[in-house]
Amino acid sequence: MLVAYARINADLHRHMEGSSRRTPSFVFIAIAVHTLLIACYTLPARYVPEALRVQAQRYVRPVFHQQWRLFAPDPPTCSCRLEMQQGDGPWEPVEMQLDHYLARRMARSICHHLGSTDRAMEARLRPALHRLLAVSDDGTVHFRRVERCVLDAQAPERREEHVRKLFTP
Amino acid sequence: MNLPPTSLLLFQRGLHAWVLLYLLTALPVADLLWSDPVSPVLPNKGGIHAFVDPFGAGLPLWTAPLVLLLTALAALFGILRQATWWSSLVLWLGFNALMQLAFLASSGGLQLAANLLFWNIPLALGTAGPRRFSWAQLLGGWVIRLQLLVAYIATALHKLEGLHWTGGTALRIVATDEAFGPAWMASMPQLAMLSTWAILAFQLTFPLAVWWRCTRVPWMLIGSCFHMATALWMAVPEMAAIFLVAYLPWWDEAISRSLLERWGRIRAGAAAR
Repeated sequence: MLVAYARINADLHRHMEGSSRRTPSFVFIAIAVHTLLIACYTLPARYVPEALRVQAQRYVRPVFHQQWRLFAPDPPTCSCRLEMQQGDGPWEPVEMQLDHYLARRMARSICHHLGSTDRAMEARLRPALHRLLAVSDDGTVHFRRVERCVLDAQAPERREEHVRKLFTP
Repeated sequence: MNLPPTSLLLFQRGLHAWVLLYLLTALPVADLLWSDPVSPVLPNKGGIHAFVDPFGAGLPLWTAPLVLLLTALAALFGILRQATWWSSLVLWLGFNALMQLAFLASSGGLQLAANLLFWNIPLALGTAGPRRFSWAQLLGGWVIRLQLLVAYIATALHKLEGLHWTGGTALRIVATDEAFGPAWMASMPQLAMLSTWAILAFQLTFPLAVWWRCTRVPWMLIGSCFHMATALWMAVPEMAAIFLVAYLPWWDEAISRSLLERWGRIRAGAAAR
């Protein structure tokens, strides 16, 4: 932070040579406050006082939302895969039906969202999944969520499978 | 250290090129993302939310292709000409609307891009137009620079909170996840352990290393390799690319200038032929 302060200050002094003093002060404060609030919003909770975190959430969430927890604090120890079955056919991974990486990402995202016990979310994502796969919601296509969970971090290739049928009454 | 104007210029062009490239690569699934979106449209509270998520505030879905076209045009404008504050504003608004509409396909890379696009507005105010506001360039330039550092330090500190990054097992767990890779790393525990710690060390030290030229260049090269690897194995190509774009404001002025001059010579040579 000290290095950052010194560098920005040098920049501001250069700027101040040709302009009034008021504007650079405002700029410096804006840079410092914005960056501080972004840091308070994104850093782990234990580094940030609660009151400051609340202020940061108010400021950052509407326009500057970001989170940097990809594979952090730990990578997910359970993989998540959606599978579909048409009629009495075999179960097949949903991602095999999708060519584009953004479509596959949406399938993974739906899979993770369906991990919660939130029934309202499940109801909301049901049409989303049918739309993604371009299949009609007439009861002939079934979905299930397959999780493969690491039992021992020293041997993560050995995983236990958990299967849950989706959209069941 | 002053803000390098040519590097900022390169950053602006790079950012606009990134948006256009992202939209072009997403075109094959534009219907799933935007025109008849898979992601449920979640209503928002209005106010400032209406600006960043206009579809959640009631903008009809039939306007999505129009928003897509406007966003692409604003991006193209910023590539071909010096972006102005209003073209940057259109780009930010359009990109946010599209990102929110396809939130199931979102990533940290898109969130970073949205933030960079916002601060690109004051940056443009300082670099283009009849009256240039140097304070605006300073504001945009420094916030964009520091944003990159916050991203690295935040992810590193979150990783220190867990068990598997410090324990050296994180990459092996990722490698054995069928959605990611590389699968071959699972059979090389020593390499996986060293790579895990190397990533953690890189992310922790980048925010410091970037301030000195002697460490900045090697750290950026390592970072480029790291982000390319995530593009390949974590299926986040747009995230890798936006991080590389975010490196640009940190580039030395001399490097950026020589790159631009070389590009100018190539263009002049092509025009002469």
